[in-house]
Amino acid sequence: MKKYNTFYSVPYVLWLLLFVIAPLVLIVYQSFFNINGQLTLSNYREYFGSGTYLRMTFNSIWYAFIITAVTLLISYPTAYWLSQTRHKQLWLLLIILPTWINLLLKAYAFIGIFSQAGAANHFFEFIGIGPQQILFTKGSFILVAAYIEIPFMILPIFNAIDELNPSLVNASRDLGATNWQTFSKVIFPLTLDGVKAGVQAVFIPSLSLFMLTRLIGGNKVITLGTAIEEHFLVTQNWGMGSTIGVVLIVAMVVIMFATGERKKKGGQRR
Amino acid sequence: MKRKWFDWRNIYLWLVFLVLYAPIFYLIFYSFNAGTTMTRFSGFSWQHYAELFADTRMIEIVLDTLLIALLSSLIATIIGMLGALAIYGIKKVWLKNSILSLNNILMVSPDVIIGASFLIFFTFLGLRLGFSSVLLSHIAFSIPIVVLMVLPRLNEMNHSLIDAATDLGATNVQVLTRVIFPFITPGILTGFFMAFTYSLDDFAVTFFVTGNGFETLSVEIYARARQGISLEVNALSALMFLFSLLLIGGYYFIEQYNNSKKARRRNRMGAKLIK
Amino acid sequence: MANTIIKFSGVNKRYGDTMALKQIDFELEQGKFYTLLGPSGCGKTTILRILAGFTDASAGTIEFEGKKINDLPANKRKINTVFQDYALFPHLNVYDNVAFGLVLKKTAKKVIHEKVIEALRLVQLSGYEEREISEISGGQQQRVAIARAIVNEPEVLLLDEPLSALDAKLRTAMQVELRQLQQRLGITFVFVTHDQGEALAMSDEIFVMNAGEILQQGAPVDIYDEPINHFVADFIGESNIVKGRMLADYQVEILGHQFECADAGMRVNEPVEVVIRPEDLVLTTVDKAKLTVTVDTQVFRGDIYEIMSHDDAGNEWLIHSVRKTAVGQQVGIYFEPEDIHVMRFGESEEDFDARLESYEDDADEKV
Repeated sequence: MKKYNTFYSVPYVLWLLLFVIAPLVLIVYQSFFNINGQLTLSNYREYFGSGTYLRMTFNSIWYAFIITAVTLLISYPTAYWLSQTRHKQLWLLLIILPTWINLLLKAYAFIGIFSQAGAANHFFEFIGIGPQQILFTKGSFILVAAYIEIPFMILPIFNAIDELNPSLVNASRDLGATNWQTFSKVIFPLTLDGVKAGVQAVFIPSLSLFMLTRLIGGNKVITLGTAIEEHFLVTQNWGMGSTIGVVLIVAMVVIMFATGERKKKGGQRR
Repeated sequence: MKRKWFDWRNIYLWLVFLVLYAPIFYLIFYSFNAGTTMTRFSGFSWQHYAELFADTRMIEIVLDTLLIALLSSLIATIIGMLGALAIYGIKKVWLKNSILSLNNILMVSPDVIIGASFLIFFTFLGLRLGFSSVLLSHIAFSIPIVVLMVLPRLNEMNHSLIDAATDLGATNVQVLTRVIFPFITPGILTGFFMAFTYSLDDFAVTFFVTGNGFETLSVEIYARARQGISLEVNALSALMFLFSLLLIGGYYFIEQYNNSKKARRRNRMGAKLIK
Repeated sequence: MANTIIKFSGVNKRYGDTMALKQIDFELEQGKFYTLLGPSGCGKTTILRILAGFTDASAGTIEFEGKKINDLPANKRKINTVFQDYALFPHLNVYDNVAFGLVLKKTAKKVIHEKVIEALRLVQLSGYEEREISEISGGQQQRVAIARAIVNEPEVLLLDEPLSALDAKLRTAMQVELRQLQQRLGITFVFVTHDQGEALAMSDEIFVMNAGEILQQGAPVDIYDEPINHFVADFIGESNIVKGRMLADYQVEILGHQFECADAGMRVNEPVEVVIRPEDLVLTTVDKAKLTVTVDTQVFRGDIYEIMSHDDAGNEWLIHSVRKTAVGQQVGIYFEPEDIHVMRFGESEEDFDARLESYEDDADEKV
């Protein structure tokens, strides 16, 4: 097979070089140029020197954290109980189905639902709170983001629970554990990998959901993603945009390491 | 596990499903609105569908989007499959792991980073933004998912199958076509399928690299949504939902067909044995 | 040898720093059943893979019908393999699996059909053509694997522990069948196993291997009766091995007693090891005994009692006896001079063979 290996590596290696390594190198390279095309460290100086950027970064991480937490809180029980139903694969398919609807369409639906005379306000009127400004608030941004991310959190958790050997649960019961003890001491620790994968799948995109901040958050929320889009496509300050991009990449790497599965050697096969 | 119909766990699940589907049905519901808002339903009408089908620009965009999705997923599947074979053939563990890490970079990178870095890359190359830059980007971000779908199948494959085929006189090409391909076909199909949906779904990357002349559906919806409500978009989303259901149905049908083919063969054999 | 089909000369195999095979030399004759026997990691499978062409030798030559085949790829060799895990193609049914090699050779459809049907008949799987691999049992899969290999009419069939996944009963049945199949086909079989019983039951000739070397080669009876060293004695069958001293030809001293034996050709007072098989030890009363031991445990095995005992010097003695005794009792054991097998330390196979030959001639002359 040796001869053929080089033959089928060519397109793939080209892709690695051109679309993985080159863009990464270029974004780092670009971050050292200011808007006038001069080689400088000023972007980094500005980023770390001015409170605006740091505050924006902190806010973005904070929002991503809240979105992830809300998503996890809703998703874990869903995944857990889903795995106990009959026809669980069918139900899972129904959970995945909404992800096939374009994200923009879902955001667009919420513009209608959250609008001044929309369904949400009808409901608030009905229970006597009266209409509220929902759209273009931070809350609406978090809700819609969580709504969009929920299936991506459920899926890995469901898989982890589904893979769990049922005799472990029986063993735990047999050894005298209560339902709660079984959950907290056996099921949850064993499905932690699924939770980590879910957190990874939700947290990182949450840092960069610029279209939601624009459509739903009404520019009340500025995430790292929004800032990058702004610099690249509106103010055309690619250098600064790239600098923020580099920060986002670093954040991503940190998250990956924090949630990465540190596989023990000779650990269980997957 | 026995469970009563009104178990609170079931109620929770129903609630989650309700929340997941409500916005989608809300959209579809208002696509039949005779009025022009997504807040008051003033009667049933097909008018927004009529508008949609009369909107040649929109139809063109839909076709472009499908073309991009089909082409990019096809090319990504071929490159990704070759990549998976190449990775499978690597003996050195560190090299394999580093290539896998590189492979996964685009999987975990936020869309804006991919979009921004591709934009810099294309500008650097002097490529005109438009159809080709969008196509290249979609191919690029679909390749790793194909690799990730095919590689586990390859790893699952018993290595002695390759030895056995060679032992029985197969050349390298014959080993590939007669043993490896049939074995990894499910992975290739899943990879293709995933790549296709990735491409259809993508907004952020396309938004960065599309320039002015070329638009995909996501970009168009974004532009229209920023201008406010247009029920033509609702009509479109209803159709897209239908399309998704058809895709799932088709997938399900293929699976059933495969199973029944096996079952038929078994029955035939059973009949033969009885004779 | 007249019809040598395979010849290994000075074959080495190195994996990094470890030598998987050290200087392997042997010749295989056409039409015989050979077994490579040894513990896992002894290099037996490596020899098989080098023969099949899946692995290259680091040094040495491999000849097939007098031609060097080191660089001949596996798909060009007239050698086929039955794999340990069978390696049946899961996407093909029984018929297509067996036909695989013939289809690749672009054999005519009609010929393929005839040959496949015949091969399946040979392994007693007629009527299973349309079955999926997942639908047949392990034993049947194993037969399909054999049919798939022999349908190509190889000169040599390699079998890599093909019986290891089967249950005990089926295994015994398959041993007989494989032996019969080999005789019917008249081709060379090279069988790899770590099961000495299997090796003894099936082979014309056994190669006992350890740590990348062939320790002893010979017919099953010869290897059993005249093991060359401690390892072979221990690996083939059960054995009692004690230290001894050669007093003269046909005289050996064990545990301070002098015994008559059937071995000769060693230095006077040479330290040796002595093997006595448990089934050669006969229980007797203490006064008639050659050795006296105390019984520690006794296990009923159905056909025999397996008795563990020890002598005064602390050596353990395993005795297979049809008569039972009692734990804690002192019993005598008796054995014949030819039940004593004397082994020299570090004797090479050639020296061993030469020595045996020299005094066996003597013995013949005496008679």
